[in-house]
Amino acid sequence: MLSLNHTRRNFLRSSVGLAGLTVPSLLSLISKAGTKAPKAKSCIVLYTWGGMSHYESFDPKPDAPSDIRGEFKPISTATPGIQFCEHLPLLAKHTEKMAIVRSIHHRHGGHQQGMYVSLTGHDPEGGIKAKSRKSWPSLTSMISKFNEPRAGTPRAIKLPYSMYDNGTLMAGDYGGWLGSAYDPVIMRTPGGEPFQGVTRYTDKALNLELNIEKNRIQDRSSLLTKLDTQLGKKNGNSTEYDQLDRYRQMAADLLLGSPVHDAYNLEKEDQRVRDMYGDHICGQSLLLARRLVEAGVPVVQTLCSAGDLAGGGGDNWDTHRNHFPKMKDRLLPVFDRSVSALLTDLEQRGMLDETLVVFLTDFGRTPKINGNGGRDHHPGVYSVALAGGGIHGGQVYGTSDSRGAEPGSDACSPADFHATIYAALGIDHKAELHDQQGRPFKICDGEPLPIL
Amino acid sequence: MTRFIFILLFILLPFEIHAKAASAIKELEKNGGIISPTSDGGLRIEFQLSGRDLNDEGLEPIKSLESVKILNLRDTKITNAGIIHIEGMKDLKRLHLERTQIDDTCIDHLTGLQELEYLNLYSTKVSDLGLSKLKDLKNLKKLYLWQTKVTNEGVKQLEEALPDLKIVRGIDLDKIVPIKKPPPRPTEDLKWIPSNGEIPPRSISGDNTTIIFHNQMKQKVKIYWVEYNGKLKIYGEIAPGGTREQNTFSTASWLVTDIEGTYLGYFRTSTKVGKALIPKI
Repeated sequence: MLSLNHTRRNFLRSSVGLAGLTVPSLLSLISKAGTKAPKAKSCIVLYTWGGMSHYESFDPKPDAPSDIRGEFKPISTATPGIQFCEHLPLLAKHTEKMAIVRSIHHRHGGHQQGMYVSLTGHDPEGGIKAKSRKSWPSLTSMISKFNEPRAGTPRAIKLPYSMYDNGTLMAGDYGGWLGSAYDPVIMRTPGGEPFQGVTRYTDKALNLELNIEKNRIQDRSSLLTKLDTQLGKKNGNSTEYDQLDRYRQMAADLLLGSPVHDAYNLEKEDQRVRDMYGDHICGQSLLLARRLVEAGVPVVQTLCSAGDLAGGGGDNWDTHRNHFPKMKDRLLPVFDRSVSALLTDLEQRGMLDETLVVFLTDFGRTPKINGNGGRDHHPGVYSVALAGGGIHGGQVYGTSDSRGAEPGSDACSPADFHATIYAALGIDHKAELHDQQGRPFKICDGEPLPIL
Repeated sequence: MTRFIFILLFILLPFEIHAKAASAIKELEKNGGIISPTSDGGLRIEFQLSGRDLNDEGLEPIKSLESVKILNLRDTKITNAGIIHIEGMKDLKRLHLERTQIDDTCIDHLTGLQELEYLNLYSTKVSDLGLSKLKDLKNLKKLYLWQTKVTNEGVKQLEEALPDLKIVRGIDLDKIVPIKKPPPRPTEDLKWIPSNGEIPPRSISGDNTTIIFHNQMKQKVKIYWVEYNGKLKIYGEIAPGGTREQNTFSTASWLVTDIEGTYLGYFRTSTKVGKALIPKI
């Protein structure tokens, strides 16, 4: 007789190793079977590096005193009762696709710590270091752990550069204890005006613009030889070369007819679509993100600002000085146009219901405007959002208080937000995984918010 | 994965058609199909990634499969003739035909798919005639028609027949207005200040600008940004004859050293885009 349990065991035995799923990740998938079916198959993470002001984006406070509410006015959105900042007029038309969380908070006021808790869902402990295998995996890495793509398709991709603060590479943006195989692959976006400010390119990037014609690629080994000459030798140092090997193998798979290689070529996109996203590295990165998801990449993370905060200047969201002109002239127009183009495009191609779009940032900004016309770091309360991927749009979860200083109702944590994302993707947020030494970790300490 | 599908089929299907289904799965996988289970116990069959060469004949084995809930034929070479093979797939809930050669004729083969909830026809030759044939798909919830030949009138009629259906028509790309590019920023030649052996004055935070280094020396040089606290931060090397564009701020100091780290000289930025010629010494 065939009992359900027996069937499940067979499922496990037959699947492990074939689809490349590990037992725990598969278990978590099975435990979801029969419960509510997940809608989202892929995920695009939009990260506003530096800490995006909640006042001048998703949570305007028009009734607060003038030294708190700031210079901008709120505008109505497509959803009655939800207001955005007036400088997000395009995104305001998409609120029916979005669930906005206005009551998220944590207690880390530094960029590294705030970014770590936002991106990993766990509080930083001790001296955290970039690429340390003791760190928690980033959301992007963790999602990729539960999605095994086909050969020639990276598990997770980051665009267009890594996060730095004054020259220091940030921890929490990597595979952590999952191991280096889960570090998202960084790709340079081939187009668009770069963000002003320091944008560091020191990480090894996957270079898909190698001057190799596809029809001249005879086989994998001759391709690898060509890649050796173009990628490897210029480093001249064997350790460097070893690190490149993973990229080299992946590049070979990619160049040999993977849809990802075609997706990387933005020249193949209709020029009008490129214009819709905006001729800016943010817009072109989001366009590339859509193309990569279309090509089967499970998760793509995009930085919507310059890669290095370097003292609070440049096109990043760390607006300690001249906050209002910077937001109005440089940051919000780019964000507004690029992100609304992404949502429009995913919807018209019939991809939005299976693609979860996640809005994340380090923290919010202070209620009081400082002497330099800026707002400082404020983890006390801020806003994040989800769109697409089977979430119920047109809703706001939680409130901040009348000054935008603390949660007013339904306070929640980055861990709760992560649990929500996992649930939307059909990943059991209580799944247990093991690090490379075999130690068990429960992937998330939060509980899903009721917005799915 | 194939083995898992076999087991699933073994449970789902009577024995005599099991073998036929197994060979159908093998055939479809050979033709580039990716087959996985859906969370509601059916099959998800996708050709849009590795099966873009799929033609009408290559889809034929799918006739032997039951419980196909999701089928993705995006970007394949399928035509109206191939759609005949999915005519009897009564469990199908989600069908992707976007970016294929199909037209109104194909819709005749879809009218029996009574469970269909999602139908994607964007970038096909489907017109109002095809739309009018969808009226009896009572479970249809989402229909994608961007870049097709349908008109407002055709869409309106279908909306009246199926009030719960959401039709997505997308935007008119001809109405996109590109972002206006700002005029090029004025440039100036920055003064090379030879080193006296000391660290240059520390940088002071200012407005965004750009410095473009050009190394005229016969040797490699290193460039350092002088931090606000006077410490040096390496920004990399520039080969002989090499150029490097670097975002920076006005009133920043940029130190140039040789490869051993001996101070050679520095530049001080302004609000204009600065050309920084590293001279032959």
